[in-house]
Amino acid sequence: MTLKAVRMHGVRKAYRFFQLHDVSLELAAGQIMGFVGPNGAGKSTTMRILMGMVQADAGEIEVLGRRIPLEQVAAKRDIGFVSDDMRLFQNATIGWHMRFVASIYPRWDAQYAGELLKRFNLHAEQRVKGLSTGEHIKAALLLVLARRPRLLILDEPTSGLDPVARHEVLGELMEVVGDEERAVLFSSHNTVDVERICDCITFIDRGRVVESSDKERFLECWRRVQLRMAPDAPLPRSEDIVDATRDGQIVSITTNRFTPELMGCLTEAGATTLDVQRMSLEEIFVANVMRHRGELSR
Amino acid sequence: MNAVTVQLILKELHAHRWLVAAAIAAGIFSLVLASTGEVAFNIGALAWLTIIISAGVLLPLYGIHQERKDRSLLFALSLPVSPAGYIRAKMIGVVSTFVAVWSALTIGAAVLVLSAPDIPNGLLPYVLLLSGFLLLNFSLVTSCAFLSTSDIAIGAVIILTNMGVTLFMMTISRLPAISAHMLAASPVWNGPFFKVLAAELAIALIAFSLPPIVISRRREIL
Amino acid sequence: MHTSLHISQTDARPMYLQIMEQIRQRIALGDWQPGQELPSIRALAVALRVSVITVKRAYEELGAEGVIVTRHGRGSFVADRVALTNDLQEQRLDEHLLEAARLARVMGLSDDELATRLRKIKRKLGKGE
Repeated sequence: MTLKAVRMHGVRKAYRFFQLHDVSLELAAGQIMGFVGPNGAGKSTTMRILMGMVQADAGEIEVLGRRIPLEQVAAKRDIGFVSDDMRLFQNATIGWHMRFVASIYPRWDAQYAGELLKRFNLHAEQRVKGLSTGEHIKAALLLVLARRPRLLILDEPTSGLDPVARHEVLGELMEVVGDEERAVLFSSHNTVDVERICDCITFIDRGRVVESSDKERFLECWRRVQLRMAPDAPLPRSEDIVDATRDGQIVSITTNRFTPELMGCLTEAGATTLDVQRMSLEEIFVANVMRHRGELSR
Repeated sequence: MNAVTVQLILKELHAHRWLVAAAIAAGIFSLVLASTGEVAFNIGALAWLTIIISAGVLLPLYGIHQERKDRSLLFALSLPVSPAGYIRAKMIGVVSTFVAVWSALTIGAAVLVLSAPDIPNGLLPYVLLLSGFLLLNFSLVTSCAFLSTSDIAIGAVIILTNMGVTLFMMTISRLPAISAHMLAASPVWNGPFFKVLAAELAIALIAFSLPPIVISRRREIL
Repeated sequence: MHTSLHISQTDARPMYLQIMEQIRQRIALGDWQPGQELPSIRALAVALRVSVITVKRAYEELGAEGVIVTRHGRGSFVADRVALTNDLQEQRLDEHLLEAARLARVMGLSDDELATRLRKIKRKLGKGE
């Protein structure tokens, strides 16, 4: 059995105005997981718990086979963490940070660090204080990538980047999983990035995991179907129909289990299929969250 | 001590190297000035006092308080170090930076007292107690900077400790066991001197060890 | 690894289908010869900057179609006998016809009406538009 890069089970954490409810996550080596949720959904808190920076109230956490927070020092030797609201030491230069990180991690690859410096268009003499948001994120990523950690935990790493920088950063993340032993957990509210590079996706909303699955399954199971039905004919009740709107004879349904059985059931109810549309990850995410919120308020 | 702790301490010394260098240079200059005459002595002594006090305020303010505002704590905690281990390294780093300035200027003042013909050697115990009080003040400001994120709290501690310096000088110079020997030809090391010095060092030690203990009991330090 | 394959974000088709089509095209044109080894799933994923699972799906479906053969632990290879030249064009034709059929259904056209329209269009094409 391969070692899980991340295993989180039943994790709870309560703040005054926010709670994580029974969050469970699993990420296998060699995979990229996209952690998708609206702002304030609990992505950052979850990631900080994984890093031992915040202690959970309950639950089991294992990262690279080490228990967190107890064995966090050993675990963090192999984790690279970057968050968009993290800052390097303001008065030091990028070069100083490179020497600093190199002196802590024996696996530091000076040659790769030099290449990244060039690729990201950064200069070792640059003082952190004067860096733009994008440059700062790239500098922080450089510091973790060049030590080749087995797990990258990245909290919104692409949110402050321009399109070119985003392209470069996503490319470097893909290089990481070129090695089957390494894994990436990355949060984003940019579903285009996630849809492209992630193998599995976890949706989180209001402190709860809404759904977690491999990406292809998400994209294959969700469909929007346009039907034509007599206005007074009842729509069959099905667990698989997430949302339905009717306008005259046109019925538009969203399903999270697009199967021949469902389509058969609809035909039996007197519906003609006009169109079947695939959904983008963003549309799936929004539909999923809305359904989840509806269930909770019921 | 592991590699990360050592690097974090070195980082602290590196970050404040210019402050340390400037404070020591200015401090030595003011001591040299103090040896040149009576008026110059008063100006030099005041400058010496101000430099140590400033260093003791600037270090916790920039090294701890500002760093938290800069959010570089998140970066530090991503390194292979536990939150408690980080606070310990940070404390050692900030304290050793201050001690570098403080000890250089204390030794300098002692050398001045003993070598300048116009300054009675009996002043030495008084100078050392004053120096000890400045270390104590630094420990209180540092402890507060670690434990509280509030600008008001740290501002209040800075003002109170500064007022404390004047009060301390007045009180000590009225203490017969100390003031009686201030103009003596050679320093007098008596019981009251050692009691005050021991109290200063004990309080400073408690203030330094409080943050690592308190913070490691908190569930989060961010 | 460098690759001439690419993924378009404005292409409405899922990424795995885009990859499949481009591989089929290279095989059909003879650029990729029978027996030739394909890039590994992971290497192609890195080069295309798409997830491993997407490339894996494309390879699995191509394997099911018999276009490529995956030998466990040894990699994937272009199948020895593939007649793709026609297949490829047929497939593209089918895709367009599917779209036409879909539209016809939305418009409520019968099969005969659709066929008549197709004949009309072919005649137009014959006259050189």
